[in-house]
Amino acid sequence: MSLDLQFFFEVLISGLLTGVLYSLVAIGFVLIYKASGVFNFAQGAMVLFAAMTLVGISDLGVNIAVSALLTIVVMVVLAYCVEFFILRRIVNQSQISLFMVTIGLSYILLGLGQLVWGAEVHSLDVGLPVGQFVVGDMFINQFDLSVAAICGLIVLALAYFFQRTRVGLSLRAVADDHQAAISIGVSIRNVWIIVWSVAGVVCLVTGTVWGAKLGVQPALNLVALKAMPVIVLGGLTSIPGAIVGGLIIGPARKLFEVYFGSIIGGATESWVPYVVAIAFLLVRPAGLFGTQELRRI
Amino acid sequence: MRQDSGTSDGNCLVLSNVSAVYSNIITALRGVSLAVPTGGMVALLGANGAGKTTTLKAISNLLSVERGKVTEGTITYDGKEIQGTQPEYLVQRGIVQVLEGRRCFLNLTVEENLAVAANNARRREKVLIGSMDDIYGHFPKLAAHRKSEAGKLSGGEQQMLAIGRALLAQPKLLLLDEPSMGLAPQIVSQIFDILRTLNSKLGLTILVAEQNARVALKHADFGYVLSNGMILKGGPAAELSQSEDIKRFYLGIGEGDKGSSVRASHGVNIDWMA
Amino acid sequence: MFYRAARRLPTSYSSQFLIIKRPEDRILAALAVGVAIFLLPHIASTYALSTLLVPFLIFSISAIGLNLLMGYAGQASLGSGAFMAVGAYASYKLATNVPHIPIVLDFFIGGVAAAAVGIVFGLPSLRMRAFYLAIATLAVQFFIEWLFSKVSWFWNDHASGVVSTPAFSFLGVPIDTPIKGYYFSLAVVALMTLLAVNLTRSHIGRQWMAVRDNETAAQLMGISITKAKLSAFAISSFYCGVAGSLWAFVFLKSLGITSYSIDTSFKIMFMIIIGGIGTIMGSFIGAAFVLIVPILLNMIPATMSLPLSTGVLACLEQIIFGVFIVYFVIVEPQGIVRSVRNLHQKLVAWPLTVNR
Repeated sequence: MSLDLQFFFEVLISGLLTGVLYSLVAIGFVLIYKASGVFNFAQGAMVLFAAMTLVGISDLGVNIAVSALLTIVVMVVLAYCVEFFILRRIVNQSQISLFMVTIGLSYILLGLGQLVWGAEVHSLDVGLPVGQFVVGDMFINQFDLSVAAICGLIVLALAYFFQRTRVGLSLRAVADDHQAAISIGVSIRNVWIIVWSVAGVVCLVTGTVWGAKLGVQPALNLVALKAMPVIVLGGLTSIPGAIVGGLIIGPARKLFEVYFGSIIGGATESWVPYVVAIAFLLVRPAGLFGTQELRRI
Repeated sequence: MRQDSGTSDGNCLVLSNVSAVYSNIITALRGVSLAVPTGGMVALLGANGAGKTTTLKAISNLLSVERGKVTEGTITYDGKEIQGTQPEYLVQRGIVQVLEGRRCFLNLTVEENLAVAANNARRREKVLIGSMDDIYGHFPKLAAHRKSEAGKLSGGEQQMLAIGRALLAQPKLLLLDEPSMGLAPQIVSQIFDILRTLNSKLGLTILVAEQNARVALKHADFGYVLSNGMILKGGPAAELSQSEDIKRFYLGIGEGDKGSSVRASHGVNIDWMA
Repeated sequence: MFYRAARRLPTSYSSQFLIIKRPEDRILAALAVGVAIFLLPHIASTYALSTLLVPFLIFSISAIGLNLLMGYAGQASLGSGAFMAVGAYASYKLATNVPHIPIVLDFFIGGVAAAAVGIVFGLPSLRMRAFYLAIATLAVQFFIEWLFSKVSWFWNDHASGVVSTPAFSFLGVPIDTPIKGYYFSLAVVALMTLLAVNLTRSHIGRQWMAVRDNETAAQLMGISITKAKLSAFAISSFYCGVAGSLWAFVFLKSLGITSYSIDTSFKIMFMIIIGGIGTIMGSFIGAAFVLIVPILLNMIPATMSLPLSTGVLACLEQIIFGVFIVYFVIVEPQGIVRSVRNLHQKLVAWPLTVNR
């Protein structure tokens, strides 16, 4: 294989794998949006909070697996609090209000996380392999590959959960028309608590993976902004969409930056994903896999 | 036919002097009193904005979603007051509402729509409807579209789906908000026939809010007329449909001032029900 | 008692076009204007003038701009910071490269430039709604941030990316002290507010509101959706552009892209949501709130001499600000202006209000 083509593939694959990392964040968003109709801007903050809690607990000397379990408990408690203090009281308000509330929530979580665990960068080692696979003459990062595998597992688990379980069906019903769901007896509160807890667990996995890659630091919160093009491209209500979105955006931004970035000044990764997402949106305004709003006029 | 607990006076649901406001500013109901006898079918009539939806939502405790609340009066179901009870518990106790505008889960299939209700009623006594197949028996059109997305059904089919879904929640009291809205007369007729069947054969108590007075009074036992948040008149359906007031109110026919407002009688006497 | 409500019937058509209908309210408004012009600059400290009042005035303009777009026309936008930047950089280029045009006029032209950019970047609104549109505007924000940090032509190829803005004067008076800056900003705010109020009461404003409330019905009524949406973006960007120029020339006296980041966009959005979306008054209330609360929060530990480290303090402030936002959205989703209006209504009827 020629050197250029090999390089291209390396960049492509690296892009695909980092795209999967963004998909992980996107999945958390989609979960919450599907079931509570809320676009959770605090997702990034939750990822950071989960990672910080995990590192904080394990730095106290607790075994990593137990720390993970304790962190999950913390995230479930967080879900309860969010439902009790916030979600219950903003029922049926406008999308903008809901979005704003999550911004407020993100500030609270960011402040709280730093208050409790401090603001230094922590490194996180969870035992994921860090070597390189060698395929032909190309190097493929083992870490990224394991992340992709984890992501795949999560997606399968969630798909099963939504499509095949009773709770998942109730979740989809609530996502569809939450007043109608109440009128036939679905407990919205339980649905919300379950969804935010599951999202919390996904955030923990996301935070662990990102933290292992970049170190657990406050900037982790910004992954939310980076994941938005992925969510939008894939469709707000679709988990497979989140994956596909990541697989498109990841390589696109890497390839653009590597091949065109130097011509126009570099650091294009902040906006190229958005442009790509918008380009797709113009053709399919609800995202690739998003459900088109079925509106009776 | 099944026996209902009911109360000693045979009324499944009693509203007594209920007032409700929205956003603390807009008074939607003023001193509304009505009674729904166990096993009866009652029509709640009124024009747009009269307060029918508010009344039904007050019963199901769904007002808070729209920043509304009951400010006065009591709502009694099976002898117990239910204001403030969480909506999901009311459904467990048998009050199920078919909301205005059908409100099917548009992105779920017909089967899934029904399953949501069935799943939530799993642990309850299956007194009324045994299974989804019973629903398909009442509504054959739904059986044909089992796997279609609810959003793709016609208005009439969606209405039937909404009713079927509500039935699977095992109601003892079924509330319907304007089931005829936007539907062709033939379909409306079919739907009301089904409701009447459910009422007479299965003993399901029904309270239906309707603008279409003729069709509602044709099938109901009793009726109330709501205007500007107050009950104007109440009585057996046959009487109401002959009443000059109703004719004037709805159809604009009859002697006397066309523009005169029908006098409201506060705290309607409901002894004639006993 | 404070208001005479009886027999206050309109006696002419023209009286119905007045912006402030009740005479008592007109007195209140005149008082407020009087205080703003004559009293405030003399009793406020230089610190208050330069750190509170001038930013408040400037951001009110941005807030009005965003309110016109989001509140009246119903189009989501997270790019207000970017449009401020466009205005600022355009004014700067004009001020430095075209010296014969008075700088104050440059602000206006900068606003027009921002409007043009607004039209271009508002095009996605024709195809997308709500949330997806918000993401498209985020793209604008990030792209513009990148543009103004990479393409050195915009800051005349100076070595540092942050440049100082030239001094300017208005009608021969150099705007070099906080008080003059205050008066100048006040004048601009007064003009732009009047313009905005009239816009919202005009056919353009009604078209915006029609599009916001039911796009399909508006279309069926013959309203051109394209014109309505793009004009909203244009005018809103104009406002943000002017505000951006003022921010650089009057307040910061320098120009750098970091002041127009996504945090600024969020700040402006907070202002209109907390203040009252869809109202002009709400833009002011919100701007005051968002700018003052952090300063108050900063002052509390100092006055109570709490032994907290700056790090802890910063965290607490962040938490409290977040709680404020959540609280406001829960308690008063229509913004503070709704509470003010309820109070006003009660005051008009007082002492005859009936407690329900």
